[in-house]
Parts: sequence; structure tokens; C-alpha cells
Amino acid sequence: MKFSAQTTTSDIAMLREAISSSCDKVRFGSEFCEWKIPSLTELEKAYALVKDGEKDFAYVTPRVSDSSVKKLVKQLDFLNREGKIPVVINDLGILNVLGRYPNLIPHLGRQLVHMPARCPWLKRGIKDALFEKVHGIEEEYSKTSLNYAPTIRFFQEHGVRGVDLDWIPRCFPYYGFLVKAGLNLSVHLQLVPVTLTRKCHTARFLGEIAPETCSKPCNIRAFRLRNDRLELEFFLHENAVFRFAEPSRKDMEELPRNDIGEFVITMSPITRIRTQEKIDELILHMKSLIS
Amino acid sequence: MARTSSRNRESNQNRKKTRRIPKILAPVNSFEGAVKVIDAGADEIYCGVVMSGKGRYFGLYRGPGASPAQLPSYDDLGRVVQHAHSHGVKVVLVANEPFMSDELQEGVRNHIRVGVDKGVDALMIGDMGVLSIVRDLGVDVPLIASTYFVSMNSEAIDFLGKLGFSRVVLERHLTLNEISEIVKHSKVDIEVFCHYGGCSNINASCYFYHLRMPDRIKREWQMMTRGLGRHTAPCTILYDVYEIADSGERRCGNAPVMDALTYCSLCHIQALVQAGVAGIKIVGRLRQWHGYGPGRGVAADVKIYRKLLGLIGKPSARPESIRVAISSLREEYDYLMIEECRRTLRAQGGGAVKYLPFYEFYCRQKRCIFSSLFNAPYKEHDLKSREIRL
Repeated sequence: MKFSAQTTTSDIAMLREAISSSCDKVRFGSEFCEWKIPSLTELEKAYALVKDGEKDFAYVTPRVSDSSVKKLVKQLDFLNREGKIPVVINDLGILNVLGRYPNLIPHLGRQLVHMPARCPWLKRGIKDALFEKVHGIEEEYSKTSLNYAPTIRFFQEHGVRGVDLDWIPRCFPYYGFLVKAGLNLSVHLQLVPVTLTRKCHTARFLGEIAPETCSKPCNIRAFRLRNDRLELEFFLHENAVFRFAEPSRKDMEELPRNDIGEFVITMSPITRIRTQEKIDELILHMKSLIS
Repeated sequence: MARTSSRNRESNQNRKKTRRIPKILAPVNSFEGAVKVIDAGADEIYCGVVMSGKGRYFGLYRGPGASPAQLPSYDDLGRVVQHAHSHGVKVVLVANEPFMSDELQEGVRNHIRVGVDKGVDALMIGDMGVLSIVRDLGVDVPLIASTYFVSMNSEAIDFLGKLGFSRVVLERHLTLNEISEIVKHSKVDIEVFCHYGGCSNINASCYFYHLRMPDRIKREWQMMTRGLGRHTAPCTILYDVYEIADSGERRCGNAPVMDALTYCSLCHIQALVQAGVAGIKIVGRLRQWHGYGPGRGVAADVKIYRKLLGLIGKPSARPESIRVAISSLREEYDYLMIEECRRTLRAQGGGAVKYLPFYEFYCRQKRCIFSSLFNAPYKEHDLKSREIRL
């Protein structure tokens, strides 16, 4: 069972914590916000630190506009010179760019895989649930958009070798299909993205004026959103809204865990995982769920 | 593919010759609605159809399926196509759920096959699996890349162009400058949303499926967002907001923190024309939600945008006259909407409805599709709604 720690900011101190933990790989970059893409200097420094720490390295990229594509191209030039490195992509444009870098290995990010079960209403029973059961399409809501062979083939023809998925137990029976098709699976623990915006909900709530001048309060701040009347609870961090999914022993039994390439631990103010101890604690907890 | 590429080249050459006035694309979900929006001046209409097979019972967004966003039958599609073509208007068939599976594929194959047989002029697609079905069927119609591909940069447009798409609908959350840059470098036509559908979140990454909400939640959020405006959505719900800290949590307010809905781009149409977008798209296949008759709300939108584009297209148009025209079009829009409310009330035999005037809702809260990305409309309170009584 392998683990990777994903840093959500270009905070070098947090990166050092990840490197000193018992994780096998460090993911560096920005998954959701293009204005938090690190600079080339930060990337070079992070890569050197991770290599010195004898950990595997993966670079994480978000959805991007043209200005960020330009920034990323310089970074991909650098990584391509360094060797075979997985790059998590969340944008078709970056998949296009990666076609020009033979050393970089495209890994589909969560934003390029549609998973209806991320829907917060699904666990309570979607509208007309009975109706859907009767017509035999209930299980469609548990699949991923990659559970259709031509879709996987399409991405594999474009060099994709792996994919990020979420800890959503009702989807676990469908993960095996992806492995059989030849994809390496990375399963994110705890935080399931429910919605995502460019009109950053954190920044707007905190009175930031524009993305270009944003002081990035999300480096240290995150919020819990509750609506007691509707019994809804979400977590807001950066420009993404999550629901929390706590791994349990029962769920672990359902997971084809021998097929999972890695579990991803997100370092974030939401999970309060920002230190080596916290990462190790979660890794131990996950291992204990198997024993 | 070769045919599509030559079509793309042709379209690119045409674009370079003249600055075009973009097409107006309007949604329909009934034959009656199609007649109205075509009369109002739509250049192109887009629609889905209630599918056959298991796909009939599956739905995430507004793609094919059994939702009221669709035309009820393929016979209706045939009538719509016939009527549209007789008025020189093109019809786009949507097949754009960002999801495909073995169970659903037969319905989608049939949807595409029958749609093409009925004479649709283009297919709108939002998933690579659906694209593989189109290729497998060997149908020869232009392909439009749906917003579910979340196209936000020139590399993504280039990628989709190479796959055979001749037009790409951009993600709603792009700024005017970003759109302008994309159009400059694009070899395919670029389409943008202009009215009514400025979602708070990126469509393809939003799992607040409006059509799949349990009834209890739906009823509650409709009640809770009453008075916010004409349009309510799951992202407009109020939340208690707690800041998370290592030492505990701190309550820091109660707000619809996710509300970033936008609706209008009247003031930005001239910039879109200058940018060279090929089409501006009106949203609202489900507009009868708000009590309007089939196609009427959309037809009012089309009428207003048609007038504005007509003015912008005149060589004599000056910025000042366009500003004045926009102001009077807002008033006209209000008038049309109030008339719609009255018509609905008459049909219901009386009653009253709350109506938020254009300036109150669209302008005071800056709910412009191309306003600043970090605008927080919910911070502008005390909107004054009017009661319309019959």
C-alpha cells in the first residue's frame, strides 16, 4: 500500500514536512486554482528537495487559462529535462501540451473524470431513486466516466497511464475495470470535490478584489459550511467545495486495494494535516484498517 | 475528419475577411417555443429530445434524458427542424452529458442516428465516449464542443479542433480579455454564453445536480431563495460559515457564500463582437419554471439581443448611441418580462407575483456574465421587488 502526500500550496515548510513523513511520493503544485501555480523557481526547489529526500515526485496542475499555460510550459520544459515524471492534468489543453514532452507521463486529474457519485444528494437517495432502481440504471450513478472502454482508450491513446479518483465507497466495485484496462489508480482520501469555481468563493467571501491581486488567504484559511435545516455540510478551501468522507474498515474491505497504486493524502487546513506527524498518523490509520 | 478540417479552414478564412456579427443561439424545448424564438430573431436553436432506452431515465445536467428541458419526441424534433429550416435557422441537437456507459450507449446511438435523419445541422457533444459513438456511426454533421469540455485556453481549443470539432463553446468563467486571446488564436469558431446561464460554478465540475435533488431539499431551497430573484439554484442557499483552525472553529457569518450567479451581458456585447466570437448563446431550456409560456422568456431575450446586435452592426453606430440603446433595452426588457408575468397571471385566473426589476437584480448586484470574477453579488442587499397583481 503506497501513499502520496499532496501539498496544496507552494509552502516549502509544508513540503519539508511531507518529505520527512513515511509517504512514498510527494505531489507538488496546485490542483484547483490556477493563480496558485508555483513559480518555476519554487518548482525547481521543490523538485530538488523531494529528490534529496529520496521520494518519488509528481507535479499537479489545475484547469488553466492561456496565461497560465505559458507559465506551465516553462515548468514542463524543466520537468521533461529531469526525466520520467508524472504530471497530474485537469485540463485538456495541458494534455495537448504534454504531447510535446516525451518524458512526462499524463495522469488524469479528478476534474477530467466525471463521477456522478460526488453529488452530495446521492448518498441520501437521489430524486426518484426507486424509479431508477426499477429501470436498472441506479448503478450508472456509481460509475466513473472512464467505465466506458472507448473513453479509456481515447485517453490512453493520448499517453494517459493513471487516474485520480475519490474515496466514494459506492464506486469501489467499478474501480477494478479501470485497473484491468491498464490504468494506475490514485485514490484521494477524505476530501471529495463537490463543486469548483473560477469565481473563488473563498476570495469573494473574504473581500479579495481580483485574482491577479489576491493575497491568497486560502494558504492558511478554510471554512466549514453548514445548513442545519437541510442537513448539509461542506468544506470550502480555495476555489473548491468538498464533502468529507472518512475511510472506514467496512469500506476498506470493499475496495480492491491491491489494485490501488496509491492513496493520496491532501495537506490542507480542512484536514488539519500539515505536519509529518499528521501524515504518518493517517498512514498508520489506513494500514490499521486492513489488519 | 478531412471534411471537417476543410470546413474549419473555410470558416477561419471567412472570419479574417470580415468582422462578423455573432449568431444568436437560443434554447427550445417545444415546437411552440421554437416558433417564438425564431420569430424573435434567433439564428440557430439548440434542443435535446427525451431519449429512448435506459438513457431516458438517466440525467445529470441538461443532456438527453427525460427532463422537461427536452423536446418530448423525435417527431417534435422533425417539426422543429422543418420549421427552422424554412426560416433559414439551423438546429443543433444536444447529446452532451459529460458521461457515457455501456448501459446508456444504445440510447445515445439512437438519439444521434435519428437526430441526423431528422435533418439537424450540428451535434453538441461533451464527452470523449460520445465522440467515439459519433465516429463509429460515421455521421457527417458538424460537431460542437460543449461547455462540459471546460475549454479555457487555446491549447484546449487546438486539441478539440484536431479531434474534428468545428466550434467550441467556452467555459462561462472566462474574462473578456481571455476570450479575445482565444479567438485570436483559434482555428475553429468560438461561442460564448451571453444570457441567463452564468453559473456560480464550473458546469462540468459541479455536482449539485439540479434535476437530481431529493424533493425535500428542492422544496426547501426554493423557499429559502425566494425573493433573491427570478432564478434560484442550489448554490444560492444560505450557510453558517465557520472558520477552521487548529484551536477550534469560529463562526464568521451566515451567507450564500457560493452565490456568484450571473445573468446578462448587454453591456459587454460590443466587446464580444470586437473579440470576434462566432455565436452568443442564451440559456434556458427550462424557463417555464418561472411561469413563462413555452419559449416566451427566451424569445424576449432573443428580441433584445437581436436589436442590440442590429445597432452594433450599423456602420454609423457610435459608442454613445449604443450606451443609450442599452439603457432603453433594459427598460424594454423589464416591460416584456412584466407583460409575461401578467400573461401568466391571466392564464392562472389572477393572483400576484413578485418581480425584481432589471436594474435592481442584474445591475445593482453586478450580475453581469463578464463582470469581475471576484464580484460577490450577495453582499449588495435590500433589493426592491415589485408586486405584479392582476
